Amino acid sequence: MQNMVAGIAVEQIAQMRRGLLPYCVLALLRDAQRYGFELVRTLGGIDGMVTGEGTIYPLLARLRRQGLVETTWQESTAGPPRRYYRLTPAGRHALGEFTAEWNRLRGSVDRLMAAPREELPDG
Amino acid sequence: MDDADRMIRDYLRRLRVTCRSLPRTSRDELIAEVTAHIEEARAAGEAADEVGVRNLLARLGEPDDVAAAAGAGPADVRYRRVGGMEIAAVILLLIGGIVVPFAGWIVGAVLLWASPRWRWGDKLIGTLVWPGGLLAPITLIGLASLTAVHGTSCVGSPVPATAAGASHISATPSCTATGSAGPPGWAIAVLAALVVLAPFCVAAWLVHRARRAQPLPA
Repeated sequence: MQNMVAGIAVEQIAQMRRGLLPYCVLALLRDAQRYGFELVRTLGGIDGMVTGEGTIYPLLARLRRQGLVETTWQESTAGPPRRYYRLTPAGRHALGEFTAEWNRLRGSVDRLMAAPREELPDG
Repeated sequence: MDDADRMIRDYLRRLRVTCRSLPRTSRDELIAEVTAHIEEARAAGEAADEVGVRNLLARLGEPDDVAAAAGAGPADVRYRRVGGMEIAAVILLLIGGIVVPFAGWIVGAVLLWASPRWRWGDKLIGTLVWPGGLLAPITLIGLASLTAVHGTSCVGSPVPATAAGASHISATPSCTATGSAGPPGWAIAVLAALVVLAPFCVAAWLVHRARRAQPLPA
C-alpha cells in the first residue's frame, strides 16, 4: 500500500517535471542563444530535472514547432556547424507569463509547506 | 575504439527503429540532433574509451524513451482499426468473383483502388493476384482435374500410335494427346496449392498494410 502511494507521488512529480522543463529551456535562452549539446548538458546538470538527456531534443523540436524558439546554423571552431536555439518574441512572452505565475504559486506553496500546523487557515 | 563505434552505431540504429512511426522530417531531425550530440561529446574527449561511451549513451537514455518523448508509439508501428470499405474490398477481391461471377471481384477492385489506405504498389498486387480472385484458380483446377480424369482413363488402353511417333513409341499405350506427358503430378499439386494460396497471402498483406499507421500530422 505504501509502495502504491509512493508510486503515485513519483508519477505526479515526473509529470510536474515534464510540465516545467519547457520553461526551463526558455529560461536558459533568455539572455543568450545556445546550441543543442550545451542546452542539454546545462539542463542535465540541474539536480532532478532531466532523466534522459536524449529526451530534450524532441522537446526542442516541439518548442520550435510552437514558434517559441527558432534555430540558426553557425560555424563551429570544434567541428561541424552547430544548430543554435534562441527565443522568439512569442517565446519571450510565454516565459514572462510563466515566470509571474510561477513566482506567485511558489510563494503560496512554500508558505503552506513551511507553516506550523496552528497557523494554517481553517477548512 | 571499434567497440565504442559499434555501440554508438547500435544505439542510433535502435533509435531509428523506435522512431519509425514518426513523420519523416521529425525523425530525421531527431536522429541528426542525437548524432550531433554524440559528436560533440566525442570532440570534447568524453567518449575516449568504452566506459566513456557507455556513460554517454546511458546519460542520453534508452532509445525507447527518447522516441516516446518525440511522440512515437510504444511499438515501432502504430496500428489502427481497418475501415468497413477496406474489409469489404479484401473479402470481395477474394471470393466476390465466386459469389457473383466476375462482377463481385470488380466491385472489390474498385474499392481497393478507391481506398486511401493502400499505396499504389499494394493496389497493383491486389489486382494482379489474381484477377477474379479465387474464381480463376478454382476454375483452372476444375479444368485440370477434368483433364486428369480423362487422361488416366486412357492409360493402358490401346491407343494406336500416330504416324509421327510411330517409330519408337508405337508399342506403349499412351495418353500424349490428353496431356499426361506434361509435368509430374506432384508438381501440378504444388503449383495448384501456390495458385490457391496466393490470393489468401495477398489478402493478409492488404489487411496488414491497411492497419499500418499513417504518419501523424506534425
